[in-house]
Amino acid sequence: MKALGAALVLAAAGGVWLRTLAGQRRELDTLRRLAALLARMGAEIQGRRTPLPRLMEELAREEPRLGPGLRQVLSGLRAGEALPGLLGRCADTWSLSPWCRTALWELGCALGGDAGESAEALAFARQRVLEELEEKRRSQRERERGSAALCFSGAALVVILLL
Amino acid sequence: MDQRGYQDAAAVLPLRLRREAMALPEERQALAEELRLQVGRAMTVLLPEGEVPFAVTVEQEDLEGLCNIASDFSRYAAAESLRKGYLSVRGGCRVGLCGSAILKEGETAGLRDFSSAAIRIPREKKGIGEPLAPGLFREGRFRSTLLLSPPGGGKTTLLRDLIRCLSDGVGCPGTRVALADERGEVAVSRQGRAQMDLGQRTDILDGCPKAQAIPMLLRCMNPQVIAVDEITAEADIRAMTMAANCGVGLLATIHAQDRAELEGKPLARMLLASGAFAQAIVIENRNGERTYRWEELAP
Repeated sequence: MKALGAALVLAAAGGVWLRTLAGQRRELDTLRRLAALLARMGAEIQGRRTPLPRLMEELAREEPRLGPGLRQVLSGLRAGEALPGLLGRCADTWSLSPWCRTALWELGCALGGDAGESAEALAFARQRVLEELEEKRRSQRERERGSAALCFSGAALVVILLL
Repeated sequence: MDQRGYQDAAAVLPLRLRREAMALPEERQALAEELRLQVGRAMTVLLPEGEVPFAVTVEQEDLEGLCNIASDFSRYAAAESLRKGYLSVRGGCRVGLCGSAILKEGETAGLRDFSSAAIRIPREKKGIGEPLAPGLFREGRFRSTLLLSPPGGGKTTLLRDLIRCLSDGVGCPGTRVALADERGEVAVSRQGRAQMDLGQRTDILDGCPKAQAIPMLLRCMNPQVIAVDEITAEADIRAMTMAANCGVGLLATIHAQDRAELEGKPLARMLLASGAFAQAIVIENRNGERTYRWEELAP
């Protein structure tokens, strides 16, 4: 009975840990994809001067995870809403940090204007996203170290209880 | 009654102004020529009887919004035309903008702080060239033709329809036409598509200065006729003379009431002396109706 109880506790803890891990991986993946998307936007605007609506539609098709957010921005633009607010709300859809949210809001203020300024703003926003990605990776590694230590301690406790 | 042009023009207005514009009765919409906006003043519509104000005042943010909508939220993609002070939008409408010029090394790089805008509603008049198209040929050969009228006389509208007639072979043999559309007012191209019907055999070079466009079209598109709107420079005349010497026909417009006025202008005298044009169509406005008169130009 003791063993069963201990096993259940461990399994529950393991389940929580795995869900947390999956959530963290999703966050990192979103940031990685967002950084790539911003780089692509910069290249398209500088190189081919692709109009923003067409660019967003193409990217929404290619990036299923970020697609719904981009489509929301597009419909907002067509309904006459301002780009900064739309990109800020998009950041909420993608569960980004307040820091990234501000970066996207600022991007919205510059995007659509001069090609050079738009490209600069995209590069700046991308830099912020990459910094956020690096920060999350670092904290994830520390959390994993802490979790590993906790797991070993838990296992040791179970062994003691069983003895 | 065709209100589509007006509705296309209203579609680029910010919502606040668009609602007002769309409240205009449909029969008036079909007659509207322009929507005019000036910061601090009521938005107006240009009708045959004159400018009529709406009950809404234009703010600076409205003009910024207009520019965003007209450029598809991508001013960088319309940088070339914005530099020249206009944007072409869906339906063939042209948005002219005024504001403060941004200069880079003495050249206009763009506009900021917009102060006014004029949304021109194009009226494609299909068919006005059909009675004239047969006269462009004699014994099966195309005769290079100038279209003359004062500003606002309908030269561009007639040029457009004559190009269509030539291209589609309406009233005359089907002809390969190459159009040097420097100001984008004939074809009103948008994202590679002409918003006006110029026929199936027409190639369009949009936004390129005529003196450069004509040799390009000559070398690359094998035209039988080269069409240009508004001859204004010596370089244009030299390029056209070169094209004529290569056996290509010319169809062009120039500001002048008639041949006599043409001969009074140094540039036009140069054009006449080149012998590039055999005849002219003089567009006259009599009691609100346009009539067309042929004049021989060959010496």
